[in-house]
Amino acid sequence: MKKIVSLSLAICLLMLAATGIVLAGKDTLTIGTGVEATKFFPINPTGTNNNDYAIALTNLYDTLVKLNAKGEIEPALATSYSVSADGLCYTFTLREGVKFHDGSLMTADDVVFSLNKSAPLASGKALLINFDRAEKVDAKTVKVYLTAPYSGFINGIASRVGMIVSKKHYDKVGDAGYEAKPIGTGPYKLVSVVNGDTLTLEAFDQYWGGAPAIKKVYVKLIPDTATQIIALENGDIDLLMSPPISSCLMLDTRKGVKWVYGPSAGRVTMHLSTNKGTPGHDDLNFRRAVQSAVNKQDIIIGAMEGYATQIDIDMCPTYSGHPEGYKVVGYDVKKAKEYLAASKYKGEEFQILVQSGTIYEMVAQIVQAQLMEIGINCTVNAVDSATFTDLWYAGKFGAMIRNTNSSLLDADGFLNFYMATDYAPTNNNQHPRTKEIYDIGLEARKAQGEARKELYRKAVDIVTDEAYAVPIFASTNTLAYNSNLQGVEVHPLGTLHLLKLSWK
Amino acid sequence: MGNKMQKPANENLLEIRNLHVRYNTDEAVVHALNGFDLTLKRGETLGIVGETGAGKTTMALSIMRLLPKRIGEVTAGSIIYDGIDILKASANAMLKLRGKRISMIFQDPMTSLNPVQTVGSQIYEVLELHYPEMTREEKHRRVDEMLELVGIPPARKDEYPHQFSGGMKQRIVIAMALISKPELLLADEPTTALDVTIQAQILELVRELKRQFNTAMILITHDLGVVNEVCENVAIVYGGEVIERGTIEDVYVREKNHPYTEGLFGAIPDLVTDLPRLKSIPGYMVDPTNLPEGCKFADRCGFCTERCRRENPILHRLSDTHFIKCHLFEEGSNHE
Amino acid sequence: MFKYVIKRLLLLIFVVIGITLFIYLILSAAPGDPAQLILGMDATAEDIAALRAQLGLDKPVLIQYINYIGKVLKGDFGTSWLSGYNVYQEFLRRLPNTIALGTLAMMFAVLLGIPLGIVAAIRQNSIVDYLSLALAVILFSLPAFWFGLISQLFFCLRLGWLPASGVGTFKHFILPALTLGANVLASQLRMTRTSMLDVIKQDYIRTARAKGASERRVVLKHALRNSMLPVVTQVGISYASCMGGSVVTESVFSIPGIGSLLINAVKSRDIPVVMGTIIFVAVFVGIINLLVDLLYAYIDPRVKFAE
Repeated sequence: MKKIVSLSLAICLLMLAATGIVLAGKDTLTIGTGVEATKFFPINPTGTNNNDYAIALTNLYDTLVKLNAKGEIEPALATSYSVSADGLCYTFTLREGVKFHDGSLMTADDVVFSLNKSAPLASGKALLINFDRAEKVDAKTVKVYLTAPYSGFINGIASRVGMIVSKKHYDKVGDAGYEAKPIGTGPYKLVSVVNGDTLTLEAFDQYWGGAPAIKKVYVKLIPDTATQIIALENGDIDLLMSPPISSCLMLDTRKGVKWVYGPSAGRVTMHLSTNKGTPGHDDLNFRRAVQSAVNKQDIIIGAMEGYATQIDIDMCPTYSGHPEGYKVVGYDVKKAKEYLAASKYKGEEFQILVQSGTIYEMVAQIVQAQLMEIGINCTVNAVDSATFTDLWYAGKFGAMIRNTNSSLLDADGFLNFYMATDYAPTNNNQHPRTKEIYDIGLEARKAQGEARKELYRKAVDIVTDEAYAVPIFASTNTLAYNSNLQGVEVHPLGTLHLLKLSWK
Repeated sequence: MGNKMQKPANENLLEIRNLHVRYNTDEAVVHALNGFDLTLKRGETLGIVGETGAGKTTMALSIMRLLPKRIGEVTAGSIIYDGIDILKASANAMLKLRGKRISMIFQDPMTSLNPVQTVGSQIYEVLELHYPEMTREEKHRRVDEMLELVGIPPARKDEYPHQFSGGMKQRIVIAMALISKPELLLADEPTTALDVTIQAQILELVRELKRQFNTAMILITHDLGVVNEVCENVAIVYGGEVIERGTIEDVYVREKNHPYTEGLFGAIPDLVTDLPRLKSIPGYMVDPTNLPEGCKFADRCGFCTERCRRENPILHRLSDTHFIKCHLFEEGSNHE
Repeated sequence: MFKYVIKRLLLLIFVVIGITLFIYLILSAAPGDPAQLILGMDATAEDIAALRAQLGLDKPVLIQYINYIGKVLKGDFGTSWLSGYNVYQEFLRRLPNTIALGTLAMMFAVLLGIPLGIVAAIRQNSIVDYLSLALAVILFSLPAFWFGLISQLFFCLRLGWLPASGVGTFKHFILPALTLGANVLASQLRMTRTSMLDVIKQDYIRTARAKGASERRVVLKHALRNSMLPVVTQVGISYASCMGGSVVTESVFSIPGIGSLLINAVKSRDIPVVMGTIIFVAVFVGIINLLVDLLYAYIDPRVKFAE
């Protein structure tokens, strides 16, 4: 027995030495998050995702321009840019004196290298739409050429696929090496990564935007939502990323914590299937019945405690290119029942596919109740994320509810569900009028201003007429934090900009 | 009031008087001993005979004060051992008696030994408990002596019980019981679980040792033959009482016996006479949870009278040594 | 005995092969394409096909398995498909957390459960006995995550004595160990009690009393070792299950251990991590079982090693 005691004590001491104790000071910040970053090289061949982006990539790297919390473009590594009249060439004037974390200066070569390497990758293709090539003009100027115009292109430059890396460092260490030792121009440097535990960042005092107020940042993984709240109220963490609305409402503000929320880049939509074998197949009346039977306000209250915005088209109000004057189908039980009576529906199972353990599962359950009210035999198939993806791509559902983000904050994002080319999510989910919508979407990419909005109006009206989808609400991003923390701002893309934070 | 046994007090090693013991189980109250009387002189060998459930083991456990704690209860009577009132003695006093002055061996040698201790250490423990002043070497020597005495090679003392046969295990148990040369040995059916050939060996051993150490012995058994081999006196027990007591001659000569005793003898298979079936005593042992008012043997007795059913008989004296608890043997009556 | 140990270890290798093959087949059959999951929604079919080829997923499952085992035998456990870290190193880094958690939980359960079980048995049907049994039922019925959360609310928020999550100091392990150990405590208590009750009734205990041994000696010297036989087996099983059952506890208390590693890997179909973890866990459990068997043989001389 004694041996077991001393062994475990030894193990504990070992861990103590290995991981270190986290101290809270006035220039340190401890953040709690439910998902962790695992990739730190933005142009990693296997790609990065929003988990990597939210805190790590956002603060380690910069882009030529950035999207602020209101969705407006601001200068960053480029002091200014201009677009050619035909929309095929973007010219960026680079900021001088920008340093990488290793002290070397950022040059036009780095910019060109980064963009050219990023664009052909999976996310690069999706976010740098119509990208052709980047070229260095001189030490201060870079031109980016497009194959076809795209109004939302600048948003792509501002996204994570537009992050600028050090060519010199890459030439030395390659993909794997860059992952292990990331070098960016961002306000923070990566100190250490303990997978499953803590990510440590350190302020980069030579940051072109000024030295950050908070010198050391610890990002801790806390998977359990209840534990997250306790950790925040207990003072174990100072800030909590994306707590669910229900947790926020339960925060005990007497403990010196508060929360903020703002519009998100994601929208929650129910996509109906028109595949053979589903009730929606070749049955417009059935789909319209579903469309009219959904009470979106009830869902917003039931699933989001009222903290969300109803949408009538599959786009967030904040997306650039958002159309106006589009058709709206409201909640009308009487009409829904009429449509159902006129339809070919004979009581078959109408299955809603959704990812289990998420808010969307609750949305699905509320929808289920609403559909059952008008007599549709509705079931909910809540599965884990891998199975969800599988079933979704295979088209095995009656309807599918998910939150879709547009990293570009652009209307083009709605096209994700109406791709007529080889695209995994839609290969088995082709609607009769998908090609029509896709063609309009391609046109809209090239258009600008009012003409562009008009094209999108046409496209979304088709979706509404055919009841291919029932958009429900635009999501909400949240942050909960110690009230002594200043500069906390909710960003639609769910990112946290550490540079702005400071202690009172 | 019946005849009390008139013996000078200091000659008796053990005196049990009117002992009533019951078991308070969850289902019912079991009256195990109902006015049990017994005396034993130093060095005497007494056999206690009776069927299963008669109360023989209860009597032995009572002497050792090892009745099951919450369930077993002495409700009346006394047990005096060498002047010590057993029922009133302190727990500590009992610890000094058990294993040292009074030893007990039990029926099933297969389970009587601790399977995870060596046999040597189990015997050694008796010395540890009662002779702390002995040195280790002395104790070990004594253990070896004892093992040899019971016919086990001392070299095997570091082996475990499962490595010995049933007969050898019982020898070890005997060694354990007699190593401190107790004054009284309670042997509860020591050979019942062994086969006949081993039985003879064990009985011989016990007889020899008790002679060597001058130990008084109460041998509990249901086997009349064994009693005959080993004991001087015998007591027959039925329904928690001693219903007949006498020397071997008194009881075994078969002139005058309690009807139950007659039944017991009658049930012994006769190797000479040809009988279609064994003679058994009709009926079943009296139910200890539901005792009758009168004589407990009444239901099964061929000589049962009205009085028998009403009145429990007392012990009647037939001679200085022979006593029978039956109305038939009342002074003045003439029963063959 | 040496031969026995060698035999058991060889057997363990076969067991591990069997388990890993089984798990590999299941993972391959499960819905979800690892390449798709890694690359995300926007990946084209070519990208996915390229990654699948890179990961070896285009080959038949058995070939994949054999390749994997081949690498393992050379000591290469591969890298995580999702995060790229070295599986072996990551496992070693997390292992101490899970072992510390499991060991502390077991210590708590054993040091409290066994004595309580003994006392409850000796004083059967007394207040102590009833309270112990009630305690066992309560602890057994409580779901780990609820127990963990409540203790967090109380000891962290209300009293502020202990940290709610993470690792780093001994304090961080107290609540998780209590949470994980609660269940084991209950079963240890009951098992000890039952075993002790059983042993106390045995004839050799009666013999010991007849020898003049005090009740205390009877319990500690005679009854205890015999009653420990089934308890030791159960301690082994419980210890092994602590390693796996710590998943919930690790999640509630944000402890980076093997449990959370495995769960996340399964969710993302990160086969190298799953396989590596399974192998280590299987070996670990196998060794614990072997140690338990050896300990059992040490305690009970009746147990012989079959030659």
